[in-house]
Amino acid sequence: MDVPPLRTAVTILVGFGAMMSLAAGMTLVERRLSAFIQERYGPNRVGPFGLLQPLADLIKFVFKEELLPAGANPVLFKLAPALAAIPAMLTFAAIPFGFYDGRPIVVADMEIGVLYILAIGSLGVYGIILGGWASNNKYSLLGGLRASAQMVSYELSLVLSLVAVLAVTGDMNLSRIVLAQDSLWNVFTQPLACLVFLVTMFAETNRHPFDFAECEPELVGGFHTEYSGMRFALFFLGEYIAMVVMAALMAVLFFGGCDVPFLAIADTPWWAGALAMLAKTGFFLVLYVWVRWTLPRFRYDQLMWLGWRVLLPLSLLNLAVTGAWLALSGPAGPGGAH
Amino acid sequence: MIPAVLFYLFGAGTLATAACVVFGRRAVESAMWLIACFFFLSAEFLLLGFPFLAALQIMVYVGAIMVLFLFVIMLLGVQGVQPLRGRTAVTAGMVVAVMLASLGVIAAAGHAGLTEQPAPPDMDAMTRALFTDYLLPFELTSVLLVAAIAGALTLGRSPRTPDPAAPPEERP
Repeated sequence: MDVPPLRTAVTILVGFGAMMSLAAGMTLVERRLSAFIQERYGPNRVGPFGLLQPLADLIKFVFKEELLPAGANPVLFKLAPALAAIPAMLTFAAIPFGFYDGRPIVVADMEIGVLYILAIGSLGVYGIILGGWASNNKYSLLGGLRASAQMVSYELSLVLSLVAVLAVTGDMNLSRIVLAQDSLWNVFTQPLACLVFLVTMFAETNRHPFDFAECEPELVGGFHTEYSGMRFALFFLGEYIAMVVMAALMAVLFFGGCDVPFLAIADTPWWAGALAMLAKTGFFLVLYVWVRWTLPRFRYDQLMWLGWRVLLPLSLLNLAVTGAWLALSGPAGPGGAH
Repeated sequence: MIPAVLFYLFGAGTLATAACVVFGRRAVESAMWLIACFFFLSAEFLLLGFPFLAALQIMVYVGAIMVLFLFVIMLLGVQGVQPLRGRTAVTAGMVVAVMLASLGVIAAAGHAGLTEQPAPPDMDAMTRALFTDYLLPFELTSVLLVAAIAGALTLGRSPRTPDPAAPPEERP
C-alpha cells in the first residue's frame, strides 16, 4: 500500500502502453503468422517487415464511416463496443510483470487479484451480447446468444480449475502466487488444472476453435456483422487485450510468472524477470494463433458437450483430489502443502 | 469526509438505477439498469472495506446471473414480457409495500446507524467461520438451490416430449 505515487503513475503509463502495443502487435503477429502457416507473405509493405501495419489499420478504422442499422437500439448499439473493450483493459491492471525494488511491478497489487480478474473479465461478454441484440439483425442476435451460453458454461470450469491452484498456493494475490512458485511451477503440481485452464482460455476469449459468436460460414460476422469503423475496431481491441490478459494469467498462475528457470526470483535482475514474463505471455499468444490456423472449428453441440461433460467433471475431480491431498499431506491453511 | 460523500453518492446511484429497473419500458433496458445497480452496490461494499464481497457481487450477479437473464429475455423477445395490469399490479404493489415497510421497521428497531463500522474481517477468518460456525445454514442453502433447480427442470419440461435429450429430428 505504501507505494510512492510517482512509481504508480509510471507503472500505469508503462502498463497501458505495454498493453496497447501488445494488443496492436498481436494483430500483426496473427496476420503474419497465419500467412506463414498458409505459405503466403501477409502484410509486409507498411514499414520494415510490415511493422507499421497496425498503425495503418488504426488510421483506416478511424476514417471509416460509422453506420447505424435501421431499427437498431442507438444507445446500446454505441455502448456495446466500449463494454467489450473496457473490462478487458481493466483486468490488465492486476497482472504482475515482475519485481522491482522488492515490490511487484503491477498497477494494482490487490489481495483478491484472482477474483478481480475473474469478476471484471466476466463482464466482457456484455459487449458481445448487447452488440448482437442492439444490431436488430438475426445473425448478430444468434452470435450474441451463442456467446452468452458459451461464456456461462466455460466460466464454471475456468473458476474451478483456478480454485485448485488457489488451494495449493493458499493465496489470492497474484504476485504472492508468483513468489510461491519460486522453486516449483504450478504446472507441475496442477497439470490437470493447467489443461482445463488452457482449453477454457480459448473459449472465454471467443477464439478459434470456439469462436461461435462470429462463426463466418454460419453467421456472416456474428455479433459484429453490423459494426463498422472504430466501433468494429473496439470489439477487436477488446478481444486482443483479453487474449493478452489470459495469456499473462496463464504464465502467472501456472508457469511462475517472472520466475526464470533455475534462478531464485530474489536473485533475478528485474529486467530479466520482466523479459521472462513477456516471453511466457508471448508464447501463449502465439499458441492462440497457432491453434487457430491448425485446428478446425467445433460444432456448437460439441462445444457444449466438451464444456459440461468433459471439462466440468475433470475440474471437479481435480479439485476433489487436490483437496484430499492437501488434507492428508499436512495441516490445513496457507503453506500447508509444502 | 470523501468516503462519506461517495457513500451517499453511490447509495443514491443504487436507488436511482433500481427505480429505473422498475419503471423501465423494455426488458433489456431494465436488465441493463439492474447491472448498473449491482455495480453501485459493489462500490458500497468496497467503501465499507469488503473487497471480497464486492468482487463476488460482480462475479456472481453481473457475470453469471444477469448474463442468463439477458439470454432468456433475448430468446423470449420483448413481446414475451407483458407488463402487469389491473388487479395483479395492485396486489404486487401491495406485497412490495408491505415487505418494504417491514424492512423499515426492522431497520429502525435494530442498530442501522452508520456510526460504528465493524472492522473488515480478513478472508481467512471469514471462510473459516463459513465452514465451521455457519456450516449448517451454508449446506441448507445449497440444498435449497438444488431443490430450486430440480423444480425449475420439472416445471420447464414440456409434457409432449418425454425425453428432452432426444435428437431433434424425432420431434413432431
